[in-house]
Amino acid sequence: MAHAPRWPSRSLFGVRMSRTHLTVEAVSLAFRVYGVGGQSLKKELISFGTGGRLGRDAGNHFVVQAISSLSFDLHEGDRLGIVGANGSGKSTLLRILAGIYRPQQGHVSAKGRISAIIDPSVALDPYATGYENIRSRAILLGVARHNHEAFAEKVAAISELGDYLAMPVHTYSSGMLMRLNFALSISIEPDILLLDEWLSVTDQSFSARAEAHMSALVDKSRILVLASHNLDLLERVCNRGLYLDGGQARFMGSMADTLAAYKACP
Amino acid sequence: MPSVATSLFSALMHWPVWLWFGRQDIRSRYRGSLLGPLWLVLNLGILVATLSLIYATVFDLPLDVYMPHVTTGFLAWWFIAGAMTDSCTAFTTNAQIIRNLPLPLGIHVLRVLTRNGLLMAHNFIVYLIVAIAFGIWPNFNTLLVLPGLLLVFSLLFTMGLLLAIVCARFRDVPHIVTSIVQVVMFITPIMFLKDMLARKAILAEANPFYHMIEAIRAPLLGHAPEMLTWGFLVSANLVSAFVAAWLMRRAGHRVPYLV
Repeated sequence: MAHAPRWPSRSLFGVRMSRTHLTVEAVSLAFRVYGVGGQSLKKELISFGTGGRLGRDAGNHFVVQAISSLSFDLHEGDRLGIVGANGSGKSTLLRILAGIYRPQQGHVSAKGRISAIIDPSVALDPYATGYENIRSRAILLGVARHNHEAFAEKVAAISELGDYLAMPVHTYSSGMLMRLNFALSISIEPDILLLDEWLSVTDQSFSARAEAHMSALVDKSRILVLASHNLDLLERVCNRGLYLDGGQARFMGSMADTLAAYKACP
Repeated sequence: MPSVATSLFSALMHWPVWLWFGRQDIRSRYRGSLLGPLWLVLNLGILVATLSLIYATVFDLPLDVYMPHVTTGFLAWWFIAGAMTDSCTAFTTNAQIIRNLPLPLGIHVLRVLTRNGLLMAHNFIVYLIVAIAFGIWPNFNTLLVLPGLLLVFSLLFTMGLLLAIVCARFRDVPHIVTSIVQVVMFITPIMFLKDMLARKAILAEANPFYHMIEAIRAPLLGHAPEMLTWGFLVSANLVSAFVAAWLMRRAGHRVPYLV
């Protein structure tokens, strides 16, 4: 889940200054993975001590080129669907768009409030009550204090958890927990919505209503970026497509053409 | 370094986040416990009472000198030690937030300071009891605790940022910090008095933790901290802020991949 930082403000006295857009210009991002072989000081000291500084990078650091020179421009009404294999850079791209990762080259500019739903259970405290967790999420998302009540009511209504919200979250069944996470995640009002997979709840009785809530959120957002493995869903929801392969745009165009290109590749 | 300054300022402006989560940390730590954070007060009370009993005798000091000294020393030290060790894990334990929300990194260190500041506020009860028992009444010097706390807080903030970044990258550093903190407790005048070092006072004066403790302890005992302490804290703040800003600029944006 992500919200744009409070500054800079995108409206003046409540008047929208211009139409929502999201522009990505020649964005590249590579990062080192340190977990390979231990993220420890010993290695640094040893390699320093053995005069291994020159070869160190090749030896110790595993560099991943996550996104390579990617550009696109989205305007109001655009629904971009991203397809690609696991590890093709979909989530990384969403994190760049959300302002969590800073690209090394190129830049992202956006007009409008951005929210990303990447991990629906972010900052959930199992020992706190449902209401406390709702408050935590509202504060994390930067919901103004006078709107906390409304946020809590919305989450309560969507999750349909009723009095259970006064109980510690660790007492919830997995279905109830899923409903709480779902409600917390979608009780937002972004102009630009970034989705890492469509959120759904498997609970039989709840799934139809969850679907309706989700569609309402998507319909309300002016721009949508949806990364998914569900090709039917992408075809139904999106009008533009991006096929990512190894961090590069292998194809960009209409969603139908992108899906055709994706299916054609082995 | 405009971007770093903006990021730190933005962290401060997110006060609802760090104040709330700092409070939540204490709430979840003592959830279900009858006394809650008062356990800490009890811990400090027992520690101070037994230490005073033994060491006032060992050092041959009157109880009304030794007990207030130990109480205020531990009050300050627990805060400093807690803030430092917790700062090491400020980013790693909040990886989920860092990887999902574009919030300024400083909020996680401010959360650590809030949590440890609240614990210190609870421990303040022990100080009040000891102060009343030994007749330490507030005077003009007591007010100096405010600038003292401010300087210690801001120093711990920049040191905390530094530690949090370094510890996210080098996972051995939290262990190093833990061992240092353990040793520092014994070599800093907390359980003994600086005067006992006699002509080797330099052993305390060269110790940065002595000055951090003294800026809180001296005013609470009704004395003004020495000029050396103020001078040290101001310059340490400048150096630490500069190094933290440099490291934030260099490595801050990499933290989301590291945690």
